[in-house]
Amino acid sequence: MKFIRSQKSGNGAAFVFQVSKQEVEWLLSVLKFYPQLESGYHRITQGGAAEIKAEQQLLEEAMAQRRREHKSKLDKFLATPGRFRLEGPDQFHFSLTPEQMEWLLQVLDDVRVGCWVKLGRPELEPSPPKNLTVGEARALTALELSGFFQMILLGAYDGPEPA
Amino acid sequence: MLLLTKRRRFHSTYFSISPFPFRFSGLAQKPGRWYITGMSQTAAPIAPPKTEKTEKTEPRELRDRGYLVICWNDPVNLMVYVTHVFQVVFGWPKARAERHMMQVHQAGKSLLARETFEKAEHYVHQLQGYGLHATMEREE
Repeated sequence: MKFIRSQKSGNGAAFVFQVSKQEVEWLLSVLKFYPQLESGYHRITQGGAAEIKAEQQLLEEAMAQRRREHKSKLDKFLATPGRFRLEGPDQFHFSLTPEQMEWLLQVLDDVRVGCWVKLGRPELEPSPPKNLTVGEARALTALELSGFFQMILLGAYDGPEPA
Repeated sequence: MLLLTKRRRFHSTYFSISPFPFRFSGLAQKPGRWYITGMSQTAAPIAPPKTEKTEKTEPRELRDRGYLVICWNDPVNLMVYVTHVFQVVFGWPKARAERHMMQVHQAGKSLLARETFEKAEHYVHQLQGYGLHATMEREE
């Protein structure tokens, strides 16, 4: 997958990406993991001050609400006919508005961080955890793939790579 | 500690420290000692400077900015992603966002903002919405 150009769309600029069939399958499989993070993950403060209990609850509710909105947008995004347009042999194009870029980045990060939490919050450097169960191996794959797609989306803000 | 040392050095190097907070017209200074020159028999009493206290009236906005927004390090969020989030949430230029990202990465945390309760809470919600480990802490 790579960013190829930005173009004008109905709502303003759009980022156009080129993906292979394999990458489309990877992207869809990663997005199926969403949402991964649970509301209890979010903490408003490091300390457990009693007076901040209401704010903690507010944060959890806000995050749950945000996830519901993102899930709705994601479902609509994926259900759009011709989302991935065939442009050549094993070449698909799809475009994202800046607003879609932002929530897709958040969705991918939710998968990445959520999978990391499910794996027991391991250190990922210098090497990822070993001796994994099938479920853990899937979570690690989703974690790595979501990072891969995040990098490509973020790279679009710097413009296309020189040919 | 480092900052304190530097400040002291700065003062001792660039400012002569007077034993009095105001200057007397009849006093002259020599290195190491003070003496009075040409003192008349009927020296007029020197009125002490007015020491009326003036209450500081900071705007409430400033007074209430006692909440710190802190981003903590984690091994999972990508550095380029953290930089991007700081740019979006705070509207910072890339260089500043990268500086804070590196601080998180190397020092384990970075102080991103000192704000009122409501604004600090807003920033924490934004940062956590992007999956960053950010909290608000009451400034001691």
